[in-house]
Amino acid sequence: MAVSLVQKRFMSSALQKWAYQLSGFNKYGLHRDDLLHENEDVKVALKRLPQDVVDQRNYRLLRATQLSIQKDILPKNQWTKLEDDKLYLTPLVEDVIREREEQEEWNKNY
Amino acid sequence: MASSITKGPLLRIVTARGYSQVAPVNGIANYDLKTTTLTNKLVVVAAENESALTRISVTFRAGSRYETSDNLGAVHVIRTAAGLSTKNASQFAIIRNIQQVGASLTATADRETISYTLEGTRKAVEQVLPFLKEVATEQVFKPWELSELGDRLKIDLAVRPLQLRALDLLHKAAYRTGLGNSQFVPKFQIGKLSCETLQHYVANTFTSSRAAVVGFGIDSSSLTQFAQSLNLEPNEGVSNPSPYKGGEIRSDKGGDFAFVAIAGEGAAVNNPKEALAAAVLQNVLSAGPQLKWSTNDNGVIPRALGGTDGYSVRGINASYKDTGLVGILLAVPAKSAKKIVPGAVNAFKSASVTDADVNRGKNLLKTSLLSELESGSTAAQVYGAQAALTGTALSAEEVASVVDSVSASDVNSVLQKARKNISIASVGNLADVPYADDL
Repeated sequence: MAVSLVQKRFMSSALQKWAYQLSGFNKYGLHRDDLLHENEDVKVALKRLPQDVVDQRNYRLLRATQLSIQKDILPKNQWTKLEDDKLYLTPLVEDVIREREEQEEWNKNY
Repeated sequence: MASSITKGPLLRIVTARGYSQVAPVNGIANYDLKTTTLTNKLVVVAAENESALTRISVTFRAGSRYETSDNLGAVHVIRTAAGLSTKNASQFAIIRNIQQVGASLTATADRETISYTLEGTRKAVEQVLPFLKEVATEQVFKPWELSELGDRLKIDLAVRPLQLRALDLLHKAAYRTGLGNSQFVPKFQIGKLSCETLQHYVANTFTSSRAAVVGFGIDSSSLTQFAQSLNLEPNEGVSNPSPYKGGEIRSDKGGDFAFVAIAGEGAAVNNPKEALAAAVLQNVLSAGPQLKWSTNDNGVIPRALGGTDGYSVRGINASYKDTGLVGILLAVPAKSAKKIVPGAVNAFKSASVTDADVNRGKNLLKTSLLSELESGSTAAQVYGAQAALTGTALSAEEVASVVDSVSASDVNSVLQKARKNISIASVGNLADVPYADDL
């Protein structure tokens, strides 16, 4: 989260790209939202994704695991580019958190 | 400081006490209807009946007749989806807030209209009114919430009584498409109606020129204010003329009984006199037993059939925007269907209606209409449908006076029109139910 905020507010696009390359996960063909820690909120959000998006995510995760086992990375032309890395899950996770907080707030008051 | 705190509440207590001394809890029965039409053609009907309860109903001309083959069952899903997350409120917030103040929110749909009714004490309704606006006009249909509705739809389908299915099939036989659409989602459509399909249906039918807002126990100005705050597109939306065709549908379901609905073309709602003549005819044919545990009444059909064989018959009447249905619904033991069904069809085709019959029918109809409009949520829904279909609302006295003016010849002409081309739908054990062309 914090990384993406810093990216949005303070970095030029060239600097953003450089930082993205430096982070390294793109060499495994992963997207930023593939790295979210699967807590309860993320699990609920994953259920709300269309099936094809879930399938693509699972494919990327499996491929990355396989590469990691083989101590390998993808050929450079298959690395994820910042432009292709859409935040497909974050908005849903934010919704889930908002709903959960609303329920906690209600339970506190009534 | 302390003195200024008491000012507001004190005044309110005085007015509240004033109301409680004047009016009974249910409110007065001879309330005035105030009908206004806003610039965007939305019809607002307010009735301050001084009741302790407020009922507000938002009605749209968006019933199942406006469905096409692509979005068949959309209305059933939209009705069931009332209370799901909307643009500005989550499912949780809608349910809990309405529960907390002790109000209730219901969605009802028929072939012509779908309506959302909020009911509760005056103070409660005032607090949760924004949620009525959200539920009725700001639907978003989130896909993951829609996918959880499947089980509720299946329960709705499973608990339909056979009488209801006979009436559904009667419409299908009589109109084929449009008004022939079932009020229930077909099984093959469960889970297939996407959120885009529903949004598209809502955009085409939930518009201000097809809407009515009815309020009981609320003053006209605050209801108008609420109506103006509704965020509705002003366009005309879809129209779907549905002429009467006629036909027969049979559905074998087994069991001990056969349910047979027999009807011809009735009257449209835009002609109140003819519509009420058709309603009188319904009561003339058979209003059903009026005493508990008694058998059939003195209607034209039971009289012709005689009182044996443990069957039951009831007149049916439905008036829609441009057409209607009037006839009878039979429930017969499967074994005696061979005799009773042809007998009932013959009685419907050849019965003559006397002045005494018409007078009895008028009295029965007046009682049921007036008690329906006396107070309460049924009145809000009746007026909502009326206002959405015709743009006006007839008060209880006006309705009663039109019923009084119905003559035997009016009723006879409705009967003649209905006899011309009858539709038959039968459900249940049809072993001995004759086909329409054998009658």
